[in-house]
Amino acid sequence: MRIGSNPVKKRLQAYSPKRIGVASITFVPFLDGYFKEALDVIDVHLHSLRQTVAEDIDLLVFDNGSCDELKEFLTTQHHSGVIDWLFLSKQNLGKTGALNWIFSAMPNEFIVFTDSDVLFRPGWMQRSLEIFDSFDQVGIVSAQPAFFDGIPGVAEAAKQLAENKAVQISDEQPDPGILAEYCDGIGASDDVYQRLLQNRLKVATNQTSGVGAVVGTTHMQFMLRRELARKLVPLPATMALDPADDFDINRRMEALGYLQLSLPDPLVYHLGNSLKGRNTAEVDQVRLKGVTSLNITDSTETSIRRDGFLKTLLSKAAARSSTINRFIQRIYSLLFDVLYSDSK
Amino acid sequence: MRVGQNPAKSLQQVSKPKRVTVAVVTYIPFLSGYYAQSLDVLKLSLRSLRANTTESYDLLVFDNGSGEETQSYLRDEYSKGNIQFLTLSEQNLGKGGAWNFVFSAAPGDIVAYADSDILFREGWLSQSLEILESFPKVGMVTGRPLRSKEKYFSATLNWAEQTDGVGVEKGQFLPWHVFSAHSLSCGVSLEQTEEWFQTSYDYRLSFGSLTAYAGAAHFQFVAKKNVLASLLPFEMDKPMGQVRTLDENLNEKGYLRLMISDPLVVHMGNVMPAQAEVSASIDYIQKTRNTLWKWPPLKKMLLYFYNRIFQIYFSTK
Repeated sequence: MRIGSNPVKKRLQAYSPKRIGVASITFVPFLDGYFKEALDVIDVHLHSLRQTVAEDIDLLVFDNGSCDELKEFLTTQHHSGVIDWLFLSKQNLGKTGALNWIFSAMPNEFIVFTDSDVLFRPGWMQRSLEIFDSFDQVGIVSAQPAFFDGIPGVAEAAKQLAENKAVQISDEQPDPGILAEYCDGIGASDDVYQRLLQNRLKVATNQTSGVGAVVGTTHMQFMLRRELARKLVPLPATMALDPADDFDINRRMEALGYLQLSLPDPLVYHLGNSLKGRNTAEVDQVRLKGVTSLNITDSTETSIRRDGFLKTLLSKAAARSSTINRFIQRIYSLLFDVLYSDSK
Repeated sequence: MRVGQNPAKSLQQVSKPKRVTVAVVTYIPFLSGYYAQSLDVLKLSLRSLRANTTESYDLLVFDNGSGEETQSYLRDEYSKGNIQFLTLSEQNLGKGGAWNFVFSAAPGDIVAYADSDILFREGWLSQSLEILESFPKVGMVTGRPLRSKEKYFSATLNWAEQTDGVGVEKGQFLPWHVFSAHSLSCGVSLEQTEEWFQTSYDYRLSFGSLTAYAGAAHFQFVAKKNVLASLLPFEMDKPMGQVRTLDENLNEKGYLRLMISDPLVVHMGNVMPAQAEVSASIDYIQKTRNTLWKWPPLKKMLLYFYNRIFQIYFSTK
């Protein structure tokens, strides 16, 4: 049975989601081989994200069936306030299965998806939002130039942009340094690097604001509006990690007539599965800077039972007088509010 | 940098969720006062769910900003495999906010929702599913009969009265012990319960070989996910009190709101069934932050008064 009314019912405001929610998917089945450095990579990933956001965010981590060590790590991060919403799944639902969940459930106006091996650099959020403000019908924006050709929807997006007189389209050669860093991050061979270097990036520039964007997007990190995310689901979820499943996002975006764009500058970087390599200094800087954790302290105390004279007297008075009853209820509710806000 | 190939790419298939997702939203900020027994109630609820559900299901728990002891218990249950999907929120998103998460993201085609203070009895899910899948255009099915306001199931009555082959009976069919058990569990006084019992009615519907009652309750129900998803999003600016829109919207859209004939779910409230008297001897765990209230003597004093006032106030009930 219920004794008393739930003090929460009329006394408190629920949490209001932030404008931007970031969702990161983790899957580390064991800490060996390919995943040997996974904990460190995810640690740097989360820290770099928290260090570079332009405004407060809600961070969701969707763990897709990882090992106990990672879950423990994520739980600690959740405890310390780095993670706002921690989703733990016993099974691996696949990356698109997780995206179905994220796209359907995140309550924020903008949803940012990221793989859990992405390093965020200062400015990624502002610059991504700038793209939404500078072009019409923007679907998703990645904070790193899209180098790969053949992504569904790119040609259509370029055509759509070319029809807009306020937008100038130019073909540009990829920056060799940026491309080399990108290839290093994804473990691409020199052959792939050479091939991508020959591609021409389609860069759209808003003539009024001067804001430029590369036509095309990446699947490792992107931002989109919640309304559009809801239209993309359900995505087929057949494999744990299959680029073919990812491309459904692009196809649906294309079908809905939305643009897929990316930043000309690499404001996110794919760390991969190892922190070694060309960006060691940058990674060290992220680790040194750390993240400000919430100051949460647990304590355990025991209350004492003592049915005394005062309790009996007040109980009787409260039962007979509605004024006294309301007064006691008010004090109780006030105390609850104080204790509640103390606990959050 | 990436070294080698991610072995996850070689996984040929991923887990397929069960047809039914049992979804439970929890919120126990601390184990004191109103919530003194709430964790025990939650434990009993989940135990009864496991013991009395023969159909295959995934359990999804959305914790809406509970205190550490509750979240720790949920993590343990998850580790043991008793919970398949667990979401831990740092903040209370409101029940509506939690529903927005749960109903849009539940992986099953059917969502069996329950508050965290529900006791399940054998057959609750099978009987609910039978009604859900046999009657046409069902919005929600609650696993026990009770009486609720007719305005929230007017579409159900209209359908029943206008459809050939559907029998409608109005009367006082619920026995006192079934009616009063739920009413009293909601904190309604005995006098009020007796008055309602005498002045309200049940609507019993027969459809084919099945019998169901008109009406439903949002503390526990079974529904199709696509129907729930079509009602989203719910308002979420208050922790509670805004979920009545589920009942209103379903009724307005012409969905049936039904209940099974037997009381196979029980609303426990905030007190363990065998312990109707509030125990004052409890442990609690508190999370604190940098405020004046963090000062241990003051916090201890406030908690003492809080507990005492709770006992005084509610001992008059």
